[in-house]
Amino acid sequence: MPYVILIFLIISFIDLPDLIKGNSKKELMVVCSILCFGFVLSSLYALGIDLPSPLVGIENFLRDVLNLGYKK
Amino acid sequence: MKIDNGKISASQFMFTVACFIQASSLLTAFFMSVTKQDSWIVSIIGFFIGMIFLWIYTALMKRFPNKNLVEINDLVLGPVIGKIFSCMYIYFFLTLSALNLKDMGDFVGMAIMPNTPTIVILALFMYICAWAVRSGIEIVTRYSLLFTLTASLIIIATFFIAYNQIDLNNFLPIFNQPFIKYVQGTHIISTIPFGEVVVFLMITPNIEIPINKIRKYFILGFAIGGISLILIVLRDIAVLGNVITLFTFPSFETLRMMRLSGTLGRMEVLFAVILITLMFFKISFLYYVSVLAISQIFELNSYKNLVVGVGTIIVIYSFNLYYSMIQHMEYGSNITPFQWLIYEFLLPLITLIVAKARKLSSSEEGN
Amino acid sequence: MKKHNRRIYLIIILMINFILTGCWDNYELDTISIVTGLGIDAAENDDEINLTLQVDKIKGDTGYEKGDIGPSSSFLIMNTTDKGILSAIDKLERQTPRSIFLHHNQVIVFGKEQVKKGIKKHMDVFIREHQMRMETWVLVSDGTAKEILSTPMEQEENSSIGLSKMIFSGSRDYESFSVKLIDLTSRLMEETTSPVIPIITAKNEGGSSEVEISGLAILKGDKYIGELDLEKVRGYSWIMGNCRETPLDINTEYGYIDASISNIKLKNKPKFGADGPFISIDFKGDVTIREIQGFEGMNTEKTFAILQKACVEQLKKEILDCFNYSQDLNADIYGFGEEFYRRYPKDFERMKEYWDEIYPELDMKIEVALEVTDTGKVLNSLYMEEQSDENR
Repeated sequence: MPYVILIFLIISFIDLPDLIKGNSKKELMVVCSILCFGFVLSSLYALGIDLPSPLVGIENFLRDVLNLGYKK
Repeated sequence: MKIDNGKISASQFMFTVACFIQASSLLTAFFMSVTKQDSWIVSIIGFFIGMIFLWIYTALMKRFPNKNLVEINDLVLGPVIGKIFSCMYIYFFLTLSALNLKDMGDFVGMAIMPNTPTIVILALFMYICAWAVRSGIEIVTRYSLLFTLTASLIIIATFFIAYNQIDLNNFLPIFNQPFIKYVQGTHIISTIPFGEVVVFLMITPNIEIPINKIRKYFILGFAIGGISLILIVLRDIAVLGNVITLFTFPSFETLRMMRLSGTLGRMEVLFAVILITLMFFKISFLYYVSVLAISQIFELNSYKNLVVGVGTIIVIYSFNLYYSMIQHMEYGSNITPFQWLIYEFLLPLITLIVAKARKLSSSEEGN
Repeated sequence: MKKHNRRIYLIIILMINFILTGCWDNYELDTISIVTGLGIDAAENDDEINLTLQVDKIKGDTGYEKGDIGPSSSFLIMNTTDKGILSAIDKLERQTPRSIFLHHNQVIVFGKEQVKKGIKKHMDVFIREHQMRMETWVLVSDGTAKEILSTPMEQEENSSIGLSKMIFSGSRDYESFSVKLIDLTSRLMEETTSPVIPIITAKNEGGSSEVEISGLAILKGDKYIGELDLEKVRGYSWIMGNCRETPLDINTEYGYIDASISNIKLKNKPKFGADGPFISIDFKGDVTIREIQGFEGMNTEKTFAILQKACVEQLKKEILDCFNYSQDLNADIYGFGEEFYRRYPKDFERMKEYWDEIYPELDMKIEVALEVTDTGKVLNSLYMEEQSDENR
């Protein structure tokens, strides 16, 4: 967990100063939101909490609801 | 509007396509466990079906030579539906990157470095990929020629070295399996290695060739990659025979068995090295395409700042995908081909049909 | 600024180099014990096995005394009993300061008692574990595996390395003597074939000990049911189609012949005849005469005619002997079932369950065509009649 925070701090220090100086709001917002998203995911992984996988979810949907899929 | 100003030459594009497909030689286990000794037949049929997909993609590329996929979606389908399509594509690209990253991490972790924690391998790998992606498309594809040549040489060389162990009887009996297996095998191979070239629609504006030649170069690159893959399948079946269904990485086992003379054995290291190199290429390319798509959707000026963020998302996503190799193989052979079919066939086809119906093209003005 | 950046990059790259070797996964030579031979024997308990590991000692000097197992020999034996192979290896790891490294394993030896109980359940480890390679030789020991692995050979101190060299060179004569793990696995996966594994006997005669290949063990399913001695092995190898230059010695009523058959073209086809399936074998070869004893007072044409006939008869006899022996044991050691499956898959589906009854009734039609092509430096032997020469 401390590693995660450390790494994200380093990343923000590399990327963000240029953006803040560059004066483009939209980019700053997008980059910040992606970094936040990554941070949340990494912390969850570091803390050991398992999120359900979207890929498995969609595939289960295809298999059960739409009945597409080769039977074993 | 171009986010990245790099330019790729025609031959670079061709070798990029070839390299991309050759990197999928790790994934041969998906259809080999289904069609066993007839896998070479499904590979050849799948190759031709891949050509059909290729026809759709090159038709789109010809129609809109200086727009990449996200822009095409916006133009053809309108702002709302176009963005929805593009979001689906972004999900597809991210998933592909994470899947390939996970495959590579599994391979290195299982076969070469079992004690190293996977995240270290993946994080270091992504660091280099991120460096390449940040520098632009030209850097990402620059070494395609070298990688393709090396990979092809290794494939041909191992074919000759394995000559003593090839038993042609391993191909018999032919056509003895239930028909549905052949359909399944063809479906798997046309979507998993061959259909993924839909990602090349994202770099159309950067390719520097006259419009009427795109098809030729794309098909040539596809052919080089496809023939390498078919050769690998042939070699593995010939050497391993009926044991092939047991292994998760059949090519790896084939190379383990080969011995030139007393000391020149244990060639699997060669396979591992070239595979890591090819996977680096494929993952960097997919990573680049994901970042480009995200920055295109939000209409940013430059994608470079997104690189690291998306990188971390991909790394963490790759841990989340499947909880084990078993689930990966099971879903990969049975359901994933259908899901990929949506992104590789259905969506581009809809886009092409709507574009034709609305008579849209970016080489003419308006209408 | 550019130069400054470059230096930083250079330093980073150089530092990354140190972790490229994979510090988690490094194996230092003095922390591993390199296993060269692995032996599995039956233990008293039915579901336990006795595992023997032959570990090569890596030392610089060669001052070892022969025939000793102890601090002065170049290998050491580790032995334990446990339920499965990997748990036995774990047990051994706790008894030795070095961790066990299996990548260089040369041979896997099964004790005969263990083969009688069945080997399939132990094959899983060999296929699954990454450190086990599919190209290790598989052998069956006439006694226990521990005996074979503990016997030092004359020219090669470490018996596993000696065995692997012996098999490799022996496979040039009879390829059936070299059974790799992948061959064994492939044959075990075929439902109707009986795998064969070479048998090794250890001999201790008056101070010198040797290890030699003494036949082939026949397994049905995965249990030992019989063995082929060296003469029958020759009959077996003729059909398997892998002989290069094989010697043949025959005693005829006129004398003794030692010939070698080379340049063999073999057609081995299963067919369906009027009364059911049969195997048709088409054998063409060249005979090289190596030694003739006897044949007093006969001229060359008669001799060679007799020779050729004798070789053909002997060949047929050897092939049929081995085939009948395998039919008695009801073990399809040639893989004929698999050949039927490959060429007539639909018919074989019906025959598969009854293969145990079909195989002993199987016919074999042999066509042998041999030609005497090489007689060495001379045509006649000392005993034979001189060819009459008009001009003399």
